[in-house]
Amino acid sequence: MIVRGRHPHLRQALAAALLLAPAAALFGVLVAWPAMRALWVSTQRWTGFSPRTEPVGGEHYATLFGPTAMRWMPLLGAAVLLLGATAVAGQLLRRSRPTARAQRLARRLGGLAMLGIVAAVGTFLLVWLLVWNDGDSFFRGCVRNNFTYMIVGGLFHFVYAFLFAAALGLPAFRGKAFFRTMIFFPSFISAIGVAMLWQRIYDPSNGLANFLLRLCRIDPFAWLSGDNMLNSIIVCGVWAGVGSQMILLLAGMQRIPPTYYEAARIDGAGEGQVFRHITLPMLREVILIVLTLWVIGSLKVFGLFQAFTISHTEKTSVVSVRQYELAFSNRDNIYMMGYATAMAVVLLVLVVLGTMAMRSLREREPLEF
Amino acid sequence: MTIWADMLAAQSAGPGWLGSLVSPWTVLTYATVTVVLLYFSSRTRLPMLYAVKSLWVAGTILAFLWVVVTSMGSNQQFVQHPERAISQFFDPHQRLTFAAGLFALLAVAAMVLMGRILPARPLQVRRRRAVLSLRIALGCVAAGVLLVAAHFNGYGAWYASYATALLVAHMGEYAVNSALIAVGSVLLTILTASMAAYALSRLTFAGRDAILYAFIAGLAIPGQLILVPLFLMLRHWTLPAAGFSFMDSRFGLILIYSATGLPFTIFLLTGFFGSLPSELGEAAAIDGCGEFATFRQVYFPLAAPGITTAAIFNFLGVWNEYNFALVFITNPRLKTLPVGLYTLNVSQQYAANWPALFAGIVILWAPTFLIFLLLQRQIIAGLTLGSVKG
Repeated sequence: MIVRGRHPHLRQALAAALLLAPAAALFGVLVAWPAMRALWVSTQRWTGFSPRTEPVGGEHYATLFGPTAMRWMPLLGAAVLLLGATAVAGQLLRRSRPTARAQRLARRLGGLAMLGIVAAVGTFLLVWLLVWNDGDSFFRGCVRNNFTYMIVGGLFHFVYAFLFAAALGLPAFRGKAFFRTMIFFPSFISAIGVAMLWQRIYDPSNGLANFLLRLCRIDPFAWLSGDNMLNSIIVCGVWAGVGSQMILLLAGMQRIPPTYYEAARIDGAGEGQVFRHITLPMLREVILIVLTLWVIGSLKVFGLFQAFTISHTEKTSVVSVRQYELAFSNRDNIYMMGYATAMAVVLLVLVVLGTMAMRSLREREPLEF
Repeated sequence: MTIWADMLAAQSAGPGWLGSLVSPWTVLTYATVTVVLLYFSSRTRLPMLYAVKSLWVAGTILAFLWVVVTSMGSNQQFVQHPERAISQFFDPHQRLTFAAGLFALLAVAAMVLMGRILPARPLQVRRRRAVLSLRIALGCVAAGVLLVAAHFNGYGAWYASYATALLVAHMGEYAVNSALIAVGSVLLTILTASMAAYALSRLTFAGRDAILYAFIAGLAIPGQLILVPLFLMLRHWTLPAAGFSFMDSRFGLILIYSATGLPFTIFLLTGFFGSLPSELGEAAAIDGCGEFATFRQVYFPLAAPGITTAAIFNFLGVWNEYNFALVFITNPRLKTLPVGLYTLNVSQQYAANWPALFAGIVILWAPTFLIFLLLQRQIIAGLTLGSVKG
């Protein structure tokens, strides 16, 4: 490193402070501070008329989850704290550079603790969703829809993204650039554009979907009825989202040395074996990144659902849409800012939980090649 | 509101889909399972991949064509009979449109074949660009010929719906707002993020890692979480003397978008600056450059590919952003394009006007499509750089 001036460290620190100042100011004031303040806002009641907010404590969370869940909440909190402390201790142990064995132990301990947190909170949420019939039923429906979108949509996303990436990776496949462009482009359309298009495609009388069905002499289908709308949205989400996953998987596949496949073929491995023993383990990292991005994206999804219909019921809404409607959509002219923010905090917990689940899957040694 | 009532009325007519034994959802699921099974046999794999991909792409093209054609029809003409759009251009009795349609078909075929006739090797950048612009020019000429022929042959005022969308429904104004906000916030994000990323990757100082982690943790924050606190906070932040307020202001939205775009951009650019060789900075220091001059004259230009990628992603993100614009803009003159399109869709007088709505969709898509066609390589590079190697 070249030494400038009499106090090189001081100079560098000063330059860094000046360079960081604008970004830190923007991010701190408009993102980090409001994110922290959200915790406080979620304990307030504010309806949009009074100049001041009114503190209500944990009432919003109690309304969201219901009394049974609230009774279990201290136990859950204690478990999460304990496991979190274990995870932090594991991290600290790893930082102190102990022997290789202790390091492995610490790594496994940290991974297990994270998995424990995910399991504890996940079990709590599942029991709340499926067993206790408690709390805000509309919100419960929203969480259920978020999970359905995440799991069902994720499955279809992944299968088609993988197939398309595999096709683009085959040397024998013709017309790669064309196919790639046509499949990739929809992921760059805004969610509103996608929702508008598909809402009209699904239109019962004039839509393209029922037009095609009519051409095939099949009865029109009620794509936008309350029971079908979630599935319809999943289909259009897959259409719009498969492209970026395909590109990521393709990049991962292109990094696998082709000699591995040749060797496996020479040894007489079938397609299933090649897939299980070469493609899947070599793609592990990329697959986990794709899944992490999907889990986060599917929990945060807003525009696609919000624009699909103006009269959301608990069968078609997701957390972010419900939150927006309660806080800002003035159909009833009652704004429930604090309650909506409590929902957003739950959403944050879900996002962090999903990220942690994916992280704990990644904790294993990465494959070197 | 009427359109929703109509939909519900039409849907409650009866189940009747193949005796309701199968639904599209079961069909889709079984098709997907079949496709997965076919993947595991080397004999069926390639035909299956061709079939699935062709079907998928055909559906996409059909949907896009449907949007464009419907946006050019009069209100009821193509909405109820999309198949008539084809006969409009391939009716042998209307010689002018028939010839134009034939020409357009040939032009599209030439566009597709041009990649085969004039192949460019990976490093022949100029040649590749020339072929690409030739293809785009050919497409534009074909579309122009079609439109002119349609105009002279009594096809109707195809531009009427665009005029309605742009002028009556104010989509033109919204497009200008969107463009101003997108360009402004991209410039601000790139400026602040590249400075911060340079400091975080090339300078050493106490607390560097902590600051980097703080920015990257911002990636996990859902926009919904900061929406209400930001709203409660910013409605008080006004400068009456300067006429500035965060609510209903393009500049306020630019600041918000820049702030929310920072974590991703810093994440991307830190990796990019970090991958540049440090010898260059040392050479600049020997030549008497200070820290700022080294950044401005050496590293910033060198990071141009990464900065281009970051700019593209930020532009697309802001152009498509919806949630914040919906909350912070209530003045109808200041709306952005997605919000404008949403209001166009739900407002009474346009809900049934499909051509105007589809014209709005085309207006929203057009810049994205153009950026995508021209910069696909950078976009793909950025996507894989940002996540696969990061």
